[in-house]
Amino acid sequence: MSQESLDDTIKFRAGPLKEAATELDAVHLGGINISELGREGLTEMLRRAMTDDDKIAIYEHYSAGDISEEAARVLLGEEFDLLQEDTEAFREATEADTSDYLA
Amino acid sequence: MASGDTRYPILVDTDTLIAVANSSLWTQITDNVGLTTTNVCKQELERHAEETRETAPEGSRPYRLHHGSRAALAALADEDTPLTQVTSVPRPHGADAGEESLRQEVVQNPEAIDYVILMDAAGRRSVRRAVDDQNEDIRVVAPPFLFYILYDTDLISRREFCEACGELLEREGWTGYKAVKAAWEGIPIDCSDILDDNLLP
Repeated sequence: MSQESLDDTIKFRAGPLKEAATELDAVHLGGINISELGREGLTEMLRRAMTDDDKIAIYEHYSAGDISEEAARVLLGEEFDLLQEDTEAFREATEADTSDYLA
Repeated sequence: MASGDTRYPILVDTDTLIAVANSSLWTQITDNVGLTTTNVCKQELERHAEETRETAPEGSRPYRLHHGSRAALAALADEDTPLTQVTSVPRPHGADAGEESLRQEVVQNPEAIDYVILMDAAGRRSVRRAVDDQNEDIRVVAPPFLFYILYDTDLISRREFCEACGELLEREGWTGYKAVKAAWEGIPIDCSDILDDNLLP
């Protein structure tokens, strides 16, 4: 994914959301970081919206090089790291002589 | 169950036993591969067999839990089958008791174990951490490793390996996907000429 597209601004109809955020920023001691809240909130909602089938599709798109590792990580979170760990563990496990384990 | 104090160096959890007992390779596994589980996992199998109905719709999760558990229990009861159990002390309780009993075994008897096989990815990480804490050389992997042993020792063909992985993908959804994908990425075995496109990455 290009840097350009990473920098894209996500736009949506803010309306009362903007009013609410501005109000909280005004009343909250020290203000609030609306951009940060927006990023975290979107990440959380994207993950919550995903079904297991979506997760499979996302990882496949990542494997095929269609989406960046960063985007896959945003969507899959810890699950992404678990897959990498499991792949490495399986690779190491197959280096041993498997005939040792036949009864 | 194998007699006496036999311990095999591959430790398996409840869900692994159920998953492979529901696979087309179950007989091959119970005939050829030495496996150890815990008394806590055995109790989980008994509970699954009791709490799910034999007549659950074929292919449903209750059906798989029931029939898979019964097949695994039958293998445990059969003295000619190289599947044995060890007693976990103290006995863990709760939803993750089976997984915890494996973690406990790793801590208490690391020298007896080469591989720990769990179906749950978070469970594998948890046991892996326990292994790392002890500086032990124990591998923690997903159930397709049992299919791989059969394949690697020429007991089954590539087709049988791929088909068993395909069954796991279909049955277990995201859980099975993670297990099979990790296996395929770890030891690239091409299943593209064998499995349907909808099962393949």
